[in-house]
Amino acid sequence: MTRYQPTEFSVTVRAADARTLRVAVRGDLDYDTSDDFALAMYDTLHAHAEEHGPTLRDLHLDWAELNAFDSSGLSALLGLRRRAHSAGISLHLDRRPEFLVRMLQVTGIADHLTQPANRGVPSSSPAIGEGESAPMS
Amino acid sequence: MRDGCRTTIFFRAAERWWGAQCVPPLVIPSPGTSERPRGGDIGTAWSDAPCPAVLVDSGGSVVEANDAARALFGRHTADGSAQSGLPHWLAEAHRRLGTAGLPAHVVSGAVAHRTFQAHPSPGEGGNVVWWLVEDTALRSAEQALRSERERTALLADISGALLSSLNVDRCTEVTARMAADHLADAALIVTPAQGRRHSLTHAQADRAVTQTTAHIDAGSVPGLAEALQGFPPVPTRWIDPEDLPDWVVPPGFDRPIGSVIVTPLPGHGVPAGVLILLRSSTQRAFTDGEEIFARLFAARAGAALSAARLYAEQASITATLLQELLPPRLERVHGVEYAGAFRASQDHERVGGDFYDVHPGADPSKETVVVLGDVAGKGLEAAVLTGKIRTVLQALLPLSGDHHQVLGLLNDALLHSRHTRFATLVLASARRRSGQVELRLTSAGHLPPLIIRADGRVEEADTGGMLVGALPRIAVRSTDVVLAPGETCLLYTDGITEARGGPLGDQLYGEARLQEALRECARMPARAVVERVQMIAAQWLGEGRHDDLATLAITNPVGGHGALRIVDGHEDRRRRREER
Repeated sequence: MTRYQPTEFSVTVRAADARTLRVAVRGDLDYDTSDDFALAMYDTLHAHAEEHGPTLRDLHLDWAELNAFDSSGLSALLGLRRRAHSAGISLHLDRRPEFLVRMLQVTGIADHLTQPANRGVPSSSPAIGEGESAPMS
Repeated sequence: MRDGCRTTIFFRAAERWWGAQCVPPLVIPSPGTSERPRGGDIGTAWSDAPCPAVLVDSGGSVVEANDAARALFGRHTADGSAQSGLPHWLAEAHRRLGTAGLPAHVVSGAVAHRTFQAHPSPGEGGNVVWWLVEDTALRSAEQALRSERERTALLADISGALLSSLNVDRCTEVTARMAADHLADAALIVTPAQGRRHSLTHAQADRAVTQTTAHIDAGSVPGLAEALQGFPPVPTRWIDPEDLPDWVVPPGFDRPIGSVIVTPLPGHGVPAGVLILLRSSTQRAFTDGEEIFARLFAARAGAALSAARLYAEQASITATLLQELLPPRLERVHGVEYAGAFRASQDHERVGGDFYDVHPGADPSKETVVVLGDVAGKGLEAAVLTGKIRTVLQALLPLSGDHHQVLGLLNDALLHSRHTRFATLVLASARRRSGQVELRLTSAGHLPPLIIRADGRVEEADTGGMLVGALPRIAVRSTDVVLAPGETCLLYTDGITEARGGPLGDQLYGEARLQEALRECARMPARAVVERVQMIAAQWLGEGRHDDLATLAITNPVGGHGALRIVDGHEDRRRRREER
C-alpha cells in the first residue's frame, strides 16, 4: 500500500504590480511548514517593498492547491494579517478549499483575517490587532 | 638530468659491490654457485659496505667483519676471535644453517637496541657471509602503525559503547571501565558538583565499578578544579602522586601511585566531568603519546556523557510537563457521567496541544464546569500556554455562570504582542435537574460539541465563537442543551477529525465520519463512548503519525444517579504535590 505523500509545501508569487500581490500557497500549511510560510511571506512582502516602495494595498493568497491546514497554519496567517495591517495591506483569501472554509468558520476569524486594512498612518510597531473584530451574530 | 646522474652513481656502486663478490653485475648468485667471496679476498667494497657483514665459518667463529659490523658489535667481535661476539639469535641461526643446509630463511633480531634482518650468503668450506640489513625504522613505524590502529579501534569501541546508552550513570560507568582497562591501572571520574557533592566513579582492572558521592576539595588535586571548569588539562609532570588525597585512590587499590593524568571530559559548552587516570609505580609512567590519547578518549567520553546528561534533563522536563498535562481520570459527579480519553502524540516534540479539565460543582445544585481545548503549536511553548490557560480558567471558575465573561477575561490574559499563539476551547457547564442534564455550551473557535441522542441522532451543538488569545476582542455564542437519560455530549479536538489515514492513508477522518460513527454510541456509558472514538481514530490512523487526540463525554446515565466521585482530579493532584 502506498502511503500518503504530501505535496511539497511552496509559496509562489503569481502576479505582482505596485498595488496588488497574488501569491499561491501549495501543499500542507501546518506545524512543520508554518515557519516556512511566515518566512516566505516576509521575504515576498519585503521584496515587493524594495521594488515598489510602500504601495502595496492588497495581498491575495490563493489556496486552491492547499492540501491541509492546521492551527499552526492559522497562527501563521494571524501573524501575517497583523504585519500586513500594520503596513496598510489588506488580506484576501481566494479559492478556499472546503476544509479551510470550515476551519475559518469554526474559529470565527474569517472576517477578522480579510478585514480591509486601515490606510491611515501605518504604525511601525506591530500593535495587537488594530481595527475592530467583527461581532458575532 | 639529476636523476640520470644518480642512476649512474648507483650502477657504479653496484658494480663495485658485485665486483667485490667476483660475480658479474646483474647475475644473481644462486645458492650453490662456486663464485663466493673468499675470506681474504674481499677488498674495500666489503669493508666499506654500508650494512654490517660478517664472515662466519662452519664452526660459528667470526672469520672477518667489515667496518660497519665492527662498529655495531663493538670490540668483542672486532678482533673476530670469539663466537660469543655474535648476538645469540644470529649464532643460533648460523648453527641451524649448518645442520639444515641451504637455503635458509632470513632471520631477524636486535643488536644494541636496533633491529636487523640477517641474510646469509654461503661461501666455500662452509663459511657464510651474514649481511645485516637494519630495519629499526621500519619496525618502529610498523609498531606505531599497529598501536595507532589499536587506539583507533579502541576509540571506535568507546564511541560505540558510550553512544548506545543515554543513561548518565551507565555512560559514566562504561567510561571509567574502559579507561581502567585500556589506559591505566585505575580510573576515576569526577562529575561537576550537584549541590556541594561530587559523584565519584572508581574503576580498576578486574574489579566492579563503584559509584559514590562525596564532599571533596577540588583544590586538593592539581588541575582538578580547573578541569571541572573546563580549562585545559595540567601537564602530567606537574602532578605529584604523593600529594593525592585518599578519595582519588580507588578502594582496595593497594599499590603506590606512580603517575597521574587529570583531563577534563569536555561536554557541550560545560564540562561533563573530569577523568583521572592512575598508574601504579610498578608500571612505567604515562608517555606523551598516552597522554594525548587519554585526551582523545576524554573528548569522546565527554561528548557521550554530555549528550546523556542533556537527554536526561530533556526527559525530565518532558516528564514533568506531561505529569502536569495528564488529564484527570473522571467518573460520576453529581449524577452526571464524565469520561475523558487522551492519546498523546507519539512524537515527544508534538506533545502539549490538547487538554481537558473537569471542575466539579461544590454541591449538586452547583454547575460542574468542563473545559476541553487545543492550543495552537506544539512542544514546550504549547505546553506552557496550556498550563496558563488551565490555571486562568481555574481562577475564573467563580464567574463560570457567564461563559462570555470568562472567555473574554481569558482572552485578555492570553493576548501577547509578539506572537499569535492562540487556543480554541469549549466550555461546558453541567447540572443535573429532575432526571435531565442541563448543559450550557460555549465554543471559542473550537469544533462544536456533538450531541448523541438516545434514538441515535447526532446533532451539532449550535454554538460558535472566536478563538482566544490572538484578537483584542472576541465574540462567542452559547447554547443550552438538555440531555435525557442515555444521551451524551461529546467534546473532542481536531486530532480526531484531522487524523489522516484510511484505506489509502491520505484521507482525513473528518466530521461526517465521526458523526456517523457516533450514531452507534446512543445510550452508551460515557467511558464506552470515548473509548469507541479513540479506537476508531486509532484504526483510521493505522501506522500514521498523529497529533494529540482528546475526547470528553458528558453523559446522562441510563441508570440514573450514581456516586459522586472524581478520581485523580485537581484536589488529588494538589494534595500529592503538597505531600512531596
